[in-house]
Amino acid sequence: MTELLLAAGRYRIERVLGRGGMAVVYLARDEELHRAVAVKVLAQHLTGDVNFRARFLQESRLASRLSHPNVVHVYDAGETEGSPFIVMEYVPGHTIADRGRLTHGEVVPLALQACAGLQHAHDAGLVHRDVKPANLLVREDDVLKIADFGIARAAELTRLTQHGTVLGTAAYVSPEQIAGEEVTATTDVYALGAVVYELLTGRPPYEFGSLAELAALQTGGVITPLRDLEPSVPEALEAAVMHALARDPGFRPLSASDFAHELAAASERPTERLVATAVTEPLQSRTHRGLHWSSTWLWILGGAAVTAVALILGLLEIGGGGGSSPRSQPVQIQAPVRGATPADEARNLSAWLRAHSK
Amino acid sequence: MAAALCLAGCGSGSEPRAAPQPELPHSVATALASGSDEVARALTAGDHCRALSVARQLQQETVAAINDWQIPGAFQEQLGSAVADLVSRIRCVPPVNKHDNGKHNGQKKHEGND
Repeated sequence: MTELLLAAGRYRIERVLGRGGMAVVYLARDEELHRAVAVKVLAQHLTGDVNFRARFLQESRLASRLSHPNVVHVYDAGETEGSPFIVMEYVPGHTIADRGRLTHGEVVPLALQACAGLQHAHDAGLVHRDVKPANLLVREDDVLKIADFGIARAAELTRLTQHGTVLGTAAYVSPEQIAGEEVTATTDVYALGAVVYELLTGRPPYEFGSLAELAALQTGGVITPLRDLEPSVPEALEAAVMHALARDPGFRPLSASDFAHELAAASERPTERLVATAVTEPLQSRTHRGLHWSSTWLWILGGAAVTAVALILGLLEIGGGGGSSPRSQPVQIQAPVRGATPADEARNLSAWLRAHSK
Repeated sequence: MAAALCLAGCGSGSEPRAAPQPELPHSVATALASGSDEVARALTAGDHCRALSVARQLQQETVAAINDWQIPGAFQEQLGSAVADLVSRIRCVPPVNKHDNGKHNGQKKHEGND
């Protein structure tokens, strides 16, 4: 692979930077502009889907419109020997996941940069859809850049078809995405909130063993308050993160910029330079946000109380319950029976599909 | 909130309170089921290569349906896993070409530069 040339020799592949379920990322040399670039080449097993290939390139070209210091720049996109590829800014450094657990003093400046990049994309009409630690690259000078803008929609395919990665990435997926509902800018706010939560506590907001369990938790579960896990986090920062993690998109910060303001205000040591970078929209009325935030917490607390009463009543009625979790009932779908032979399995799958259709 | 209380307090004491289960859109489920039936038919007929081809097509259609938000979240993992498992279990071993002994009059072996 070291001799591979792409786009009529313009990009000379040097080495593999990383492999994912959907693509391989190479460090390459742009022979025309004499600079290092990252080239993402779609994995071979996905190149057979013509629609997917077209979408991969289309989304990449949309992402190339973005130009912001906190977004990995897409320079070029093309196809070589049937394999689509995109050429991106090379970001030497690590992903934010590699940093492990961080203090709130370290997290907030990074989160503010992420907010700034997201807000820029949202202003351009693009929702990332797959904000997660692996997509947040941090240079050695602590500049954060959001990667995979535009191909995230294509990446959703991978998350749902690549075993082993599905549960790792689902931790940051919003309830509306899990439910297959409309995705908006606040979807990215939720995901970033989940990332911040994990960076501060060392664990994601929900711990789960399957997508179905995650969906059940997002529907009826309660996120452990951040300060229960990391008491050093300021109360206002906890409130800002929990606000972003609101189940209902309407109860979250209205924009990434709003989330940035909440984070900055909550931080005991805001980094003025980064705050200035993050704030791209005029502040909304503090009164409005305060009221909105308060009403959110009233709803959360009220909902939790009612849920608790409902669960107690339910357990009493069942007669003790035996330890089964009522909240896991709504979305537990039994998998199709595997079958002794592939033919049996195919028949079972067909029957399962028909049995579960409207 | 009222709904939550009603879920807990309403109804007869002996009936389980199962929440409404999500369902697959009929058209999508039927299309995917037809593909799965086709895979089963090909396997039963011993045409494993055709079965694999159809199964891969089924997988692409499944992925496309998921990507287009046509598959409710509760089904996505189960369906994606089942289809992927099906594809992985089918082995296509191309039959040996009995006529491949140099006597056929088909396309001549290409010589020279490409």
